[in-house]
Amino acid sequence: MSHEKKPILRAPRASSAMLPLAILLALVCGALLLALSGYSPIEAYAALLRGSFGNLNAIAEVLVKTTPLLLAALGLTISNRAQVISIGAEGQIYLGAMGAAAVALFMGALSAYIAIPLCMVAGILIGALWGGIAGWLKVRMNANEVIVTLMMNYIAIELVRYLVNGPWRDPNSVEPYSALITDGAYLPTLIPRTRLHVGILIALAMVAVFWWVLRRTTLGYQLTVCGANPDAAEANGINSRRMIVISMLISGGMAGLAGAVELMGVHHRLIEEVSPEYGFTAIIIAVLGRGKPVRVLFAALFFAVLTTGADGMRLTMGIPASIGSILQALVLLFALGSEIFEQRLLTKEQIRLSAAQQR
Amino acid sequence: MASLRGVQVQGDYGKPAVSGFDLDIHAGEIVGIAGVDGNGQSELVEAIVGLRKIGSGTLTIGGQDLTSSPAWKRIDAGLRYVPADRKRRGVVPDLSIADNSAIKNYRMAPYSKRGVLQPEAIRQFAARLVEEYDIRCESINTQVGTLSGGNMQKLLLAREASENSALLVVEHPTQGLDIGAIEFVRKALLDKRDEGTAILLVSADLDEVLELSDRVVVMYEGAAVQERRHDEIDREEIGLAMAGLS
Repeated sequence: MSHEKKPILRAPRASSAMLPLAILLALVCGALLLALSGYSPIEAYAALLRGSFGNLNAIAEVLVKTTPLLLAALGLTISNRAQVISIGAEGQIYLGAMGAAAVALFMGALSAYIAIPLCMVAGILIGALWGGIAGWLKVRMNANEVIVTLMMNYIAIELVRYLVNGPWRDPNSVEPYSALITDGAYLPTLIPRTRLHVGILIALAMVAVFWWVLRRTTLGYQLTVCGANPDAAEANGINSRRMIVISMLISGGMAGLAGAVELMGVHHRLIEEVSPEYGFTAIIIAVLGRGKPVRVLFAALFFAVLTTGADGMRLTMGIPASIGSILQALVLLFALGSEIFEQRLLTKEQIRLSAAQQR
Repeated sequence: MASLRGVQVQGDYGKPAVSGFDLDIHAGEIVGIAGVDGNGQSELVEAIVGLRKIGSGTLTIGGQDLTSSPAWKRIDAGLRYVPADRKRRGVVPDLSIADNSAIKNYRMAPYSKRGVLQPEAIRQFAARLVEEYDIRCESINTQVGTLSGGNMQKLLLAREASENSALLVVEHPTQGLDIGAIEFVRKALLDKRDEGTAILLVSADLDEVLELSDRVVVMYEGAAVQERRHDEIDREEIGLAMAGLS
């Protein structure tokens, strides 16, 4: 038996230069759209950049928006790995906020050391419960998780709407708001005179936690195998049904945490519009993140910039907010397209390599 | 030792694919299944490894009843499996050799402790497999999908045969391999047998079955129709039995 190990193979590199190109193309298409709508693309993009990086407050706004997007998208990364398509983050964010509000409104005055963890746990638990139900229904009843999570969103959102219009409504307020939560549950502000709160640090810590869980634990290993090859997972004794439920608990819990953090850091009261569709944007971010927490972080930042910048375009140039949404959608489309393209390049490279090996 | 008693398995279209199947596989023995493809061999294998329900009858490995146990319990009992479709069921092509080597034992010490993977132990294990089975690769970080068929099969066999294997189920182990790899795989199976592993060999290659098996069972329309020890093999008789003419 020969022990000589010739370096026959080089691991093929995913042609990762594709993604920046895709984003560039999306921006070019966006520029065309802006020009057709009668705005100068250069000025509009300048307004977008000013709106998101122009001053300290703008940067703080970007990070404020990154926080819930990142938390929810990290959770969805896990359910994506278990091959579950969850649309439920939006509803789970609402319920997470509701859970945190329930603690912070009705438990009386609490010190921050008790109130903040307690509110977060409440948000995580109720979000996990909401996600877990959908996972359990999929495993037990073979219910389609896309439909179930979508419908459960309506229940969650309407429940919050009912609470702030009815039993939890602050009688002194004109708007359908709850009363302000107890002071102890306010997340400390990071930069004075901005809305930036410590939630971003929690979200960044979660990136590290998720990286570690995925790379270094048996749970992460099982999820990775499930995500990369479900047939091999099954044949090698990894229980995909268990993975589905666990991953839905985790993704629900993370969305719940996002809602709780949003309530404690930004709104400080339960309102009708807990989330401007963060839960749906998080789905896109999780897809672009391709299961890698650090990539999810950058995708979340990028989308926060697009959303904040779209506000800037609207305020300074009167460009409708829908153009911002279209821009996000373009980025997703081009990024997905680039994945297919990359895959083809990769396959070609593999064929070439194995041909070289046959020699 | 592994035994099947009166095992009945449903096929994909609701018809029974295997019926009344009895078989004992002893330690240190290769039992080969001869048969024309589509006579219930793949359903039988799936039922043994836990990918298909056993309708009635029993499966025991080492005295432990595993008839309705999930796949992971069978793995814990020492069942190992080299599937026919190695890229689909055997390995995860996108992951490295090291990651793939851990798929059967990542739950056990020293490869993980209290749910935390021990990368060093896994890497050492992978390096040992690469060394012992002469797997040609750049390093244990190489993506398994880039290996040649022969090297991928060696890795699969190395992993499945390496530790705690009481029953090794091997399905079409040399399909699509070059001559060198075929010889290597066959010799590895014989070595494993000599070390005392019970092996069930299913192969469409009749020569392979006749050459490697200590006992040959002919399967026809889901039933065992003939059983011969290695020294009583008569090719013609087995050929007739495979065609349902015994």
